Amino acid sequence: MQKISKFNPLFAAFLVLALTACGDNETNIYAQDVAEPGHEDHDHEEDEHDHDHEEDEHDHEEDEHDHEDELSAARLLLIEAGTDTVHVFEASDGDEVAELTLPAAVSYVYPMQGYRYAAFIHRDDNWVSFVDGGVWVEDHGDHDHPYAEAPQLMDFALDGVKPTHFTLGDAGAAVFYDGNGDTADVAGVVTFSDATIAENGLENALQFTTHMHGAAQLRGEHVLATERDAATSSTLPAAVGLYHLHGGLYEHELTFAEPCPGLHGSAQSEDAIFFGCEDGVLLIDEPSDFSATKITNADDFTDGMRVGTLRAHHHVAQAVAIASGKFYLADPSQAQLQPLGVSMPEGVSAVSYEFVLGGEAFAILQSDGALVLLDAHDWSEQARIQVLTSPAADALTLIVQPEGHMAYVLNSADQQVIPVDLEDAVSADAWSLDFAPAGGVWLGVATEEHDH
Amino acid sequence: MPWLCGGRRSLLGRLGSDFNDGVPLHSEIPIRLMSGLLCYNIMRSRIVFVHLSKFICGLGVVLKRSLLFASCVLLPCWASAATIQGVVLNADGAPVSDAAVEVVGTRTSSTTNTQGEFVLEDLSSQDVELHVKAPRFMHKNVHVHGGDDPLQIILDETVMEIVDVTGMPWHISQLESASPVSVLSGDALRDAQSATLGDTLNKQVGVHSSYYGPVAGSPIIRGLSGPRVLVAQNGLDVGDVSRSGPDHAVTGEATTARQVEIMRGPATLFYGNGAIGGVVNVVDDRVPQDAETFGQWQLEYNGANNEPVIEGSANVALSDQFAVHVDGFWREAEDIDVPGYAELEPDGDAAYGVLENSAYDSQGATLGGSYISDMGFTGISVGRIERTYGIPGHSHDGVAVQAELEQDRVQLVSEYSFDHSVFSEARFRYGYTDYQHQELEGDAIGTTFEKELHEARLDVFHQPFSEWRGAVSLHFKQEDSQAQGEEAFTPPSVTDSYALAVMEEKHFGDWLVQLGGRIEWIEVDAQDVRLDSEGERGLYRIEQEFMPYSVSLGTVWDFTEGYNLGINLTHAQRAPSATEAFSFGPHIGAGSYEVGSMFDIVANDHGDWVVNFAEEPVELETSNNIDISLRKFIGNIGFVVGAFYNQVDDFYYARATGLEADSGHDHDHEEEHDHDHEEEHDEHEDEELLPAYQFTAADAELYGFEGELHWQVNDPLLLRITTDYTRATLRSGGNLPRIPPMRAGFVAEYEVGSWYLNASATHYFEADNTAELETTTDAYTWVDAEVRYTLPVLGGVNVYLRGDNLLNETARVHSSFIKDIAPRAARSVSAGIRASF
Repeated sequence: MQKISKFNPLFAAFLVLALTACGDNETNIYAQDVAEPGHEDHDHEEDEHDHDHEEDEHDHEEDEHDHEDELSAARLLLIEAGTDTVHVFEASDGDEVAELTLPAAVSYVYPMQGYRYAAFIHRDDNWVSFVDGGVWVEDHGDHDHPYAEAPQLMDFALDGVKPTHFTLGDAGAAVFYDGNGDTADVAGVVTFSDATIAENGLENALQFTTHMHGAAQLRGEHVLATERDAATSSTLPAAVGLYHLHGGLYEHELTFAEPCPGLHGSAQSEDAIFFGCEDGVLLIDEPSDFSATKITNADDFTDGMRVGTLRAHHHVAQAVAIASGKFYLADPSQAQLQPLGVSMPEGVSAVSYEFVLGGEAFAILQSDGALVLLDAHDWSEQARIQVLTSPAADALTLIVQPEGHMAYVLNSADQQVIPVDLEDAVSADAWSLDFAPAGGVWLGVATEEHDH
Repeated sequence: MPWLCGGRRSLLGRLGSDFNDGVPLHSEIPIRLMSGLLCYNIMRSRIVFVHLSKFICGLGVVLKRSLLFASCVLLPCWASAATIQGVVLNADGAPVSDAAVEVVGTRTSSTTNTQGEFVLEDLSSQDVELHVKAPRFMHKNVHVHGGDDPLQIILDETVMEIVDVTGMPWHISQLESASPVSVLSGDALRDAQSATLGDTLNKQVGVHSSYYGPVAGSPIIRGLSGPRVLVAQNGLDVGDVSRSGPDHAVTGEATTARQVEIMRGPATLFYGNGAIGGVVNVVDDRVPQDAETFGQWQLEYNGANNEPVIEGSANVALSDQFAVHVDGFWREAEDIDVPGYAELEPDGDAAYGVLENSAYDSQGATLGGSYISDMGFTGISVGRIERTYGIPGHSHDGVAVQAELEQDRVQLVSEYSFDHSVFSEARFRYGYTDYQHQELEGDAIGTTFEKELHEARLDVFHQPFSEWRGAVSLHFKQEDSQAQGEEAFTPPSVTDSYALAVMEEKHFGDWLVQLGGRIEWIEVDAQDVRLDSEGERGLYRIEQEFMPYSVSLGTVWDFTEGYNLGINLTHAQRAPSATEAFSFGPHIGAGSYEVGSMFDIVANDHGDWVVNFAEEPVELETSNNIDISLRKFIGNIGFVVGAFYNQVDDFYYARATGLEADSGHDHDHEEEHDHDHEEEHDEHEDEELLPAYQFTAADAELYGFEGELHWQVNDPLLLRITTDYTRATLRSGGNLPRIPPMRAGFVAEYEVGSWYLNASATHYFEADNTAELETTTDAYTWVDAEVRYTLPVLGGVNVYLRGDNLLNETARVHSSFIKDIAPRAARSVSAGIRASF
């Protein structure tokens, strides 16, 4: 009997198991679009599609929710200072979605025009790498098809000596290699598009005979690039040439007669291309057969003061020229630069400035943590947002959403990102990072949802 | 007191002088202390170390008596042992020699001498069940309940060949169990063996081959294959990827096997989830189970594809405690000859008389070794199989595709019996396989399949309780599989399963009752499930949990002398395989674009379609199966006829959708695709399009019959008739695809002196119960003949000459995915020589 009593409970337990718990099944589906988050505090619950089939339920609300997420998906790619690491965050909530290691430390980062790819310039390492932010839309005729996948380093890369200035045109981007006089490496320009990056294709190229710290602007099949006389001692060019694409190489068409001594800085709008010169801004008007004129310096230019940086926007006829930290308007209809009347307190300087809100405004981030918005129609001050108070020196950088209403202030000293809604002129709670952000770029779907 | 350290007959033989009527001298005790086998006495809750081997026994005599004495007081582990003796006779009263008399549930056995006598000594109990078997006799089970009288056991002669299925808690053989099984062994196995397991078994009742040319062929049992038929090697999953694609070869190698066991119908009770349609278990002696020396070798040449085959296996006893195993095989074949064009509709550049890209070569070797004691054995084996084969009909831009597979397999087997009051025996098996299979286009690797499998199984047999015998089985399996490349139609997945099963049987007079149940926990974790549709596009991770169970109840009724009736009812469940659930991509081997049941296809009128996650839950496939077998086994005529009816709810099958998808073959720039979809399509308009199939769960019915009749016409002449038929329909209407047609075979065997002649003809009827978008397949008759002569050297060396497909029929296999481009071989002659020792 003892034997049986030992056996029965096991058998009974088995039968109970077999008859009660059997036949169950359950399925859970988790979105894996993005890499697992790097830190604990990121809650990815909402990425889950919990198709819990146990109760025959299939929660389609979550699907729709996800779909909406994807429609507005955007990401911030932030460079960890002093490293080759790029952290990718959801622009909506600051969830880190991936961490990428680039081939080298990053000097600058720029978005490509489709805002799917970012170009990381490793100037000292003579390399440009590209990252797919993983968020984009495809035109399916009757609708835009949103995609959201894991960010990745692309196979496409550029190598050339001292890649420095990166400019965007309608048809693509141009990277200017400065070359190196010490090593007799000549300067050059390459141009390429999103498709070139996607397909790991061949870039179009222009090669000079000497080195220079120059710039190039891509205009369809033309490139406007700076030219330097090899006999001069300055590395800055003094003229601009027009080049036309033939079989992947740019051929020289002409050198503009209007010189541009000490050329530094360039930008382009829908019709015009601007170059910063010691004596003003060289304006080249494409519709009138690339006619070149000079917008001379403003009267208040002091000795040695010159335009070194330009900002322009496709939707705005004028360009903003920055000379020694002061803002001027380069208006093609005016022969002289116009002061913009931006005043900053003593000791405060402008650290970042970009056109924002789809060209509706021009944002200037000041070193005191204030973000000033100028109305791009009348150049009046539209808003002033105190994003930070008393930030550390040289700690701030501005990232803007090109067509939307968001901007992000990076504060490397406190390892934080402060999202700013430019339309409502309010800043949101800062996201804490576990690294110091040295710079970054916004990538995503550039929906023109902003009401003009 | 029945302790775990009872003596055994061989121990007695060795240390006979130390024993006095089965009671050991004191020297016996400390030997057990030293030995190191841990056993647990539940009744006393004490752990003792017991004797592992005779070898250690011998050392014991040198130990000091005082210590020995003290040990014996502490461990009163000897009991008075029982002895059973008797004689085995045939129906005429003549002795049957070489009959094996086994004590069921133990490792104790004896063989009858020329007078038919046997002695079983040192039994832990006089209340035992004996299983008596001898060649050409019906097996017999005898219950012994004490008494000193010698037993007289009468065996009935039979024309049926009976080989027990190994490693089962029940007695399972073709004639003795409730569920239908068959075992192919001996010369029949050597004659049948071919390069694929499917072809090796294809003459067995109820079994057809999936015939992917001569290069890959899986057994199809009652119309089912793939994830429903488990292929095992020594009871453990073979661990290849043959379940997920018809062009993937099976790595269970029959060439060096001792026997191949086929369980028809649901066998999930024994083998778990993948065995709902049946099991093929290839049994070899890679882990020696006893200290015997034996072996076999064979050289063969097959004319159909100029294939030399060399194989051999040997088990060698190094001592009474150690035995080793070695085997190896090598075969290399050219493209196979076929009658006429291989293609049903040959095009302009079709080759005549040969099936292109059907050459293969394969080789393998295994080493094993065991430590053997009276109580059991523990052994390990390491084996490797390599195989390179063409995939007929599978070319990419004119480049023939080849597959190259490698598999390493480790098996550890340990079986011990003990005189415990509750447990009688424990059997442990562990297997590890590391599989890789690459599809090569020239030198380029197209797709790589990798699979790693860990499997462990512990069967604990209990002592008979009220004559119930049986075992509890614990089973663990972990499969890690992934595929990379253009045909990676399933995402990488890890499947863990845990199972608990109980199997019991008991004789009630003329009734043998066999019942069992199994419950299984399965977890599937699939990564990188790619979806390409509106809104849900992206990569997903899918976790699934299933808890399928199986129960089985069967009986064998000896309703009259020489006959029995077996009835078996099974309720079995199966979780869909990763292929069935998660597939999404081109499966070139099957010539289809497959979409798993996790997904829904949404199509518009133009044939454009996208895939979303399905709204329907993933269901367990559930089978309710009944098998009835009538057997006659005494006399000159014996037969086994059976019928089955299998009602399967949520039967997963690949439903033709009528849609098409890119094969992906011409896509050299996968990563570029994200952008210029429109342009790419224009560029690749001539790209191969594949029909899209979706795995769909629908209720199905399978039924049919199987029959086998043996007639010993006179002493030299034996006639055999076989037939089988399976009908498989969807309950909503329509047929399941690739169900083998009805088949009827006739075999004549003539054996006189050293000569053996065999002629067989099998007619495959027209396959006309076709599924949607499936074509019929013509009938054909396959005729073989063999002549064999035994040379009186080395104890009997067989030389043989065999002719296959003597009518030179164009034989297309309806159950093959490539039936229209790959017929069976043309008329050919094979010759060989083999011997066993």
